[in-house]
Amino acid sequence: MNGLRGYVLRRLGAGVLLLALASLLTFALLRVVPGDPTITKLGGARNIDPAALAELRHELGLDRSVVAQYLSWVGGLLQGDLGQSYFSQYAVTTLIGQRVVPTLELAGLAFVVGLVLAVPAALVSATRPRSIAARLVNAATAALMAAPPFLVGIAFVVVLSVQAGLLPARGYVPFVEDPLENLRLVAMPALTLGLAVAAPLVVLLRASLGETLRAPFIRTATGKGLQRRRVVLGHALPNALIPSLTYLGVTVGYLLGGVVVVEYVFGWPGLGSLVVDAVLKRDYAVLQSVVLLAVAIFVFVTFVTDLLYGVLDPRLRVGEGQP
Amino acid sequence: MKSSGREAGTVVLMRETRAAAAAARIAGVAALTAGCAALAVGCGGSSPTTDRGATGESQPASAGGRLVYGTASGISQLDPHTRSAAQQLVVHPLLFDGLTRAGRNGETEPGLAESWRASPDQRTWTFTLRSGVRFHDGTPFDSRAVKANLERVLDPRVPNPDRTKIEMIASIGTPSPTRLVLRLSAPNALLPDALAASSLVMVQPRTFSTAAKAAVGTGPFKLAEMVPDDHVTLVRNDDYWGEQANLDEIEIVRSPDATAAATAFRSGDLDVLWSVPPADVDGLVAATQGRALEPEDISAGVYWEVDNASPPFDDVRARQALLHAIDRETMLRVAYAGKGLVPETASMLSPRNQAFEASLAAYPFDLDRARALFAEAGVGAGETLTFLTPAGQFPEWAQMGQILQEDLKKIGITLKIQREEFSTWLEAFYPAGKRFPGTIVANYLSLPTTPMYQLSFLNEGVCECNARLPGWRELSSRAVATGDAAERDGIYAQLQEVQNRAVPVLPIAFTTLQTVVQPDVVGAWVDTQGNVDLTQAGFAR
Repeated sequence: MNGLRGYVLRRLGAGVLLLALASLLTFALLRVVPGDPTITKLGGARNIDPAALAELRHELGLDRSVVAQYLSWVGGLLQGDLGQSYFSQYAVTTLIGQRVVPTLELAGLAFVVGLVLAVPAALVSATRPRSIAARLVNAATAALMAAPPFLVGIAFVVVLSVQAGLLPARGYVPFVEDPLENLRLVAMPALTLGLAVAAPLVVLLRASLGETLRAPFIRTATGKGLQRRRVVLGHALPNALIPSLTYLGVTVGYLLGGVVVVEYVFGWPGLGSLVVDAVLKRDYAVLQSVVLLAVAIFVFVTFVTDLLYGVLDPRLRVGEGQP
Repeated sequence: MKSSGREAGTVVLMRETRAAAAAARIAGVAALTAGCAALAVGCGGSSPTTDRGATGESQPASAGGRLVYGTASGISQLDPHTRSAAQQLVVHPLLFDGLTRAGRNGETEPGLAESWRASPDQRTWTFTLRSGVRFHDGTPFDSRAVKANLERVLDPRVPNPDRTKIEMIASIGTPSPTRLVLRLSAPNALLPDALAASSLVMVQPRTFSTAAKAAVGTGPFKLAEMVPDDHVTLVRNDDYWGEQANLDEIEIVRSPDATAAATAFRSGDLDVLWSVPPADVDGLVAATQGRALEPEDISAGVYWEVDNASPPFDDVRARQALLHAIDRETMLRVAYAGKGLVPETASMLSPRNQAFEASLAAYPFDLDRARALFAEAGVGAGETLTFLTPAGQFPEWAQMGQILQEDLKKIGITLKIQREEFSTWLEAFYPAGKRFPGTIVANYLSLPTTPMYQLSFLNEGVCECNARLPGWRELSSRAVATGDAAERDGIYAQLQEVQNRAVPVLPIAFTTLQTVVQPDVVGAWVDTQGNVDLTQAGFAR
């Protein structure tokens, strides 16, 4: 197990280094981009007194040197103080806190929906490639790969909300406040995102299933008289899932940070829109911390994915067994 | 009617929603007829979609209910004294009151001040405040609170958008809790109008430092919850000093994507939708049997700004040439689905404003005149100008730029359309004093209906156009100082003459942001700047 511990420590060290680099890069990049939070904040005020601008700069700490600003941000980070938004005065931790639960809920459900849809679809498509069901799956996959989630989302709203009146078109209610309404509200965004996740997964899984089904051990399994079901589900699928794991890891990152469009369509208060707003307003305080959070999540998920490889495929385990 | 003669010639494309009497009062029947001929859709008061009188006002609202108001841009903070974004304006009249307030026509009405009077020299104003008013936290509202509020907004370090209107306040006296005496360093007959500004409302002084997120006012609603840039939830203030609100709760939600917002409105998940793309308004109204809310007058619109202090637009002929090269009628039709009024002059005031000067020379779309004037100013064929517009929002501005681009091409001038992301766009010309030679900046101004406060946009140090108009300062101070309304109207005419000759900014279209409401929503109205007032909104019985 020493090897594994060493590997974990090495990976964690690399992760921390990556975060440090990301913090520097995010910070520097924001200062290079044109635009100024104080100007954006004053946007509506006419006849701006230079004193007002200077005061605001001082208040936001923007009159200090860039190095001092960076150090104070990192110093705060290490103590769990991410500063406060230049615009809303809310602590960045509060802003993230307000949005992290809806983000996790939507991402989690979308991930499950994606898996639940993709695995059977890929199985059908790979095991009976000539069946009508397989053709339907292929056509749907191609369509979903091409259609942006925005379009799919709007289509759902038009059909399920405007026409049928079954589900509310937009909004968010915390699960603890009203579980039923929460589920009704999350249904369409989760389905929209789930489909967006499922389509590429079907393609990947279908290919790797096809390959696995032609592998010698499958022939062996079939030859020793196992039922087709058991061959496919018990032997082929677990092996075919391994190459898709990387994609699933990336997907988790995407779901946690990059689902702005779906958040916009369904009025879902997630982290994605927090980032986009911060970019547009140059709310450095919010932006740099949320971007760093996203990087951290990504690093973590990749790390977990790599560990999972070892669980699913003993050949990929580190530091175990001697040749 | 001062402006009706001109009005008949003005293409009135805005759908008039008031009854004929009101229409005649503000625009003249001839103008309305012309508008109907020009734009077949939506004309005629009998249409259920536009007849606000029948569905919006006469019908009583039932008590209670929760109204969901959709806006494309999120509300990031609530402090009215440091307001910087228009989407914030909807919450101000709900959470706060000012000493005075603007009514539907922009006329000044009593607010937290019951009455006021000025000394004959307009230098001392005495306000009588309502007694028994309390802030949302239970603390009493009195003259000392007013003093603290005024001192805050008068502090140059506080970026208040309306400070210039009241900066002549020299001392604030509080002889009793309900008496406020303001002594001015210069006479100001418009002080009560100035104090109606939504950024001069009263905030509980102890909460100044947290006003962005706490918002403790005296208004008919209280803050219940806020997720910045996502939603603001307000609940009725049952201890309100004035007329009680009908609704239990108002939720202001952000629906950033226009298509998604429209779909949510169609499905009934939004009761009111603000800032609807003009081209979508009629479709939404038809689909829901709802209504579009129309203002009585318009004191907002698309204005283009050029730098009056650097070439080529430091030459008045170049600015006049540009105005002649702008096909404002086509632009309103194409970019705003005809919803608004086409300016024919360079006046800041809409032709419906009571102070609009009808005798001003017009600047018709005339490329030959434009070519000649440009040539005199040294802008010949082969020159390149830049049109600066924000990327990702206001696509209609870019459309307007494209129309100008095509027209300028005909006289040999190249127009480069530059789309910059919002912050970059803003930084290119704001605040006043920046140089942006050869650049035409697309912008939208929303100004109070009081003529002086529209014209005062052109004061030095305010307008990003960096104009210095001859005699402007003297004329403005005289208009503010006089207590004689007729004299003031005369000065307004002179100011517009100066402006019309100098063309410091280019008014392109008088138009407000569009609002649609569901058929059962009553009591909601929009002011002359297109902001929605929900204080007395409710649902039809």
